[in-house]
Amino acid sequence: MKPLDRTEARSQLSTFAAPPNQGGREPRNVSGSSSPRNPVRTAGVVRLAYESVASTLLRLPPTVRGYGLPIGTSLLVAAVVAVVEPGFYRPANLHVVMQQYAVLGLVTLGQVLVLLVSGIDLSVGAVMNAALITIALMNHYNENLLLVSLVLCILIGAGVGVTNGLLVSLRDVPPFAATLGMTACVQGAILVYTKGIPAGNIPTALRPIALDGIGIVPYSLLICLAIGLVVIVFLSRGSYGRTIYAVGRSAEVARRVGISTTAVRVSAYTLCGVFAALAGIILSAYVGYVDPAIGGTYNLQSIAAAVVGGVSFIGGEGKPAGALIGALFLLTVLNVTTLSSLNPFTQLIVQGVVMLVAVSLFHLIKRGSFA
Amino acid sequence: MNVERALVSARGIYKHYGGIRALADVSLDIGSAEIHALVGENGAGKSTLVKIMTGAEKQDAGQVMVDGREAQLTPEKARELGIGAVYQEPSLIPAMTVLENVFLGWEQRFGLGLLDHRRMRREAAAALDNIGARIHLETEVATLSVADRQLVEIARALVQQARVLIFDEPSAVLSGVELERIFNVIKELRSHGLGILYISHRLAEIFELADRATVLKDGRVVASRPVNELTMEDLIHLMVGREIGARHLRPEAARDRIVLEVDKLALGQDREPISFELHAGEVLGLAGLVGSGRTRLANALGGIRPARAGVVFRNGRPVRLKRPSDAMRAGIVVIPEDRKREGLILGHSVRENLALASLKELSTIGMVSAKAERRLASEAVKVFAVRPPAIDVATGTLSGGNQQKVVLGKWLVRKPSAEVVVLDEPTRGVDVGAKYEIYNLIDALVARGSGVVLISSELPEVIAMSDRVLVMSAGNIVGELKRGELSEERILRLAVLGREHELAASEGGGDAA
Repeated sequence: MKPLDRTEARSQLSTFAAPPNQGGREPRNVSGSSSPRNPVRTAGVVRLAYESVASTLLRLPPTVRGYGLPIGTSLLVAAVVAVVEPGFYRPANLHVVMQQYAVLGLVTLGQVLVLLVSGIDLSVGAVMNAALITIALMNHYNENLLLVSLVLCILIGAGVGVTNGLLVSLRDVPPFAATLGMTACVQGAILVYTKGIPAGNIPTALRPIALDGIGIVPYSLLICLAIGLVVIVFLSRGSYGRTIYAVGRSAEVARRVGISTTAVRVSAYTLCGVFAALAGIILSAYVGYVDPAIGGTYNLQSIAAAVVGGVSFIGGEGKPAGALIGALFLLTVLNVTTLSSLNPFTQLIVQGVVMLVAVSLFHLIKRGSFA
Repeated sequence: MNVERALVSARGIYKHYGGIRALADVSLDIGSAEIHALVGENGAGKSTLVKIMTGAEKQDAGQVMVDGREAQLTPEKARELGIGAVYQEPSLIPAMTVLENVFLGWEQRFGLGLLDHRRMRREAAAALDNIGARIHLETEVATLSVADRQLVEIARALVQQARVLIFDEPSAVLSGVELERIFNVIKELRSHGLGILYISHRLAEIFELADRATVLKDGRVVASRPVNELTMEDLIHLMVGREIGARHLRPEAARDRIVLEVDKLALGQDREPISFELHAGEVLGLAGLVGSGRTRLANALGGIRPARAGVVFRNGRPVRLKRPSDAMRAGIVVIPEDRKREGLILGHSVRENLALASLKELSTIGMVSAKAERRLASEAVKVFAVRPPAIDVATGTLSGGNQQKVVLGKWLVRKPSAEVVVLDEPTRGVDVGAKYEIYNLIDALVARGSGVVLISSELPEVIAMSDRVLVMSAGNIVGELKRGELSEERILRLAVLGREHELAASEGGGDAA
């Protein structure tokens, strides 16, 4: 006794085909007799092409979609780069990219942890600056305290992270505001201590971390990749990873199985702060001079890398490996456009377009798979 | 009432959700200057009917007629035709002012998209004045009481020229003076010729307010009569009597060992502390209307929302229940009411969901053993007959019944097994087959010696499954019925009328005997 009459079926169809027309009262989209001159038609062709690509991608088995496509895309990007800007593969340039990657990769790993618990950390740049200044300042007063200064850097990162985490989970401060506020505090503290004029130098004993390495690969990159591996393994196989994803997806469900959502959130922010401090140490080893604002760009770059790599702002979605690939992609695009003979303003446009295409492509690959 | 005089009528409405019938051949008229009450137990189909009459859902068959003409309702169309609704939790935007809310989506404009504030102010003030509401137009809605919010929502319907107003259980969240105010407003609206559809659990209100009552049961209209031809007994009698099908009765529990003792648990202000005992092998039913405090009690036992005071004993020892992990350690498990929000991570696979409550047991040095996890998941899927029997599908793709089995599995495959299992509406939104599997599971739980607390709004279910039933009303336990005394009428009378009436009734019975 529930006949589905034709108008109804049609209206459901049109609702499906044209989401903005919610009532589905005008089923003309479905009749398909639009005139050849209709400007809508061109848009329709583009959409059709996009959708056929999308449906082909979606029909691939999840394993291919999950691993094959990112690897395939990376190879494709590598080939395109080889043609467009062969200078990218010169050892000197590769060395630069690896240095930069060690820093961005570490910050991104921390950012991923925070994004996974539905947060965002805009204080990573400030922590990096603080690390840089701490090393320089302590070196200025006593050149034998390098190790102590490194430990202090890590503690500062952890302290900022713990504060962020507590503000967010116990005081319900929106992550955006909490971490931005911490940025102001940390930057302010830097100014107070340095009186606005950075003193001291980066000790030369620190520099081998970035400048030496195994063959062409600097130690800094090895540190980054080692930590990356640990994060990847713990997030995918460890019980800590399960709690992170559970809290990000549904804090209520997590709480009800006895997970302390506060502890999980605070730990994510803390690790993020520690990774940022490590990144700051590596960065100072690499650049070798004191610039109290050098970390600023890493806030947005780390978020961009994570998002390009498929990590969602909503929380509980995305993988550290994806984010590491995202960071590599981001740096490659930045590096290749910089090497190119394009005018610097055009470079920005190219970077923006490539990023947008990359993000939409990644989400296309991911759509429909829960893996 | 004939169709011509009715403002809005439903004619032979059918609605199914998946395989579950929500409405079958429902007809109902709302006439001008009439308050029409719609009553029925939970799940009888009241809300579905409201959704159809406000255009929020589409019926499978049948028509909604407005002024005698068939109307294809959408939410916008319903508003255009003068059908408004006031919900229990008003659908206002708290951060906006009263004025902005009254005209939300209905803003009066000059040309060029500029808002005609003067006119809106005048109309809103007139509408609020009409219903005797003294609310300042610039007040932020967030600062208003629930009753005032309902008044604002009524005013919104009035400026939109509503001729029919549907009230979806407004009284469930109001009390005393506030309720009186809303009643007066409703009567006032009637005198202006509006048609009112009033939905409520509280039967006493219906006699105070309504001209006509329609009773829904299992998605069908079982009676539609003028209120002066009805008594309270009639209404209760009409509402109850649903079938859950034949089930052989479990032998009565031995009741020789107390697994859970609740001593003066304080669940909220101005609520009496709650005390009861649960025996090994016993199913203790917890009946009562929505909002009677059953879920609050479950959450207190699960450490999800701790009680303010009182002690809970497990096997004679007092246990601390300040957080969920306390309850887990004490062997108390609460299967939540809202499985989509509280029970499952829908984007995660069946396997991950099943493992979530057993992470510690499955892990060594912080790493989850993939093998142990798959073993646990496969076992749970088999034992709880989850279909499809796959462990790597996302739980969001499963049917309601199978999702529920995953939630049950998540909690019940844990080792050591819980000795106290609280099930909050375990069969809500679950198909018939899964329902019986859940009943069998409850039998299995008590057979192994667990005590089960069964919260359910389905009275036939409570009666068929329970050894004993506690009835809650307004946060208090108002009665206890043993297996021999169980009937839907008795439970409902306690739940609706509270304790005094039951006392009066039983004393009356005692005199007769």
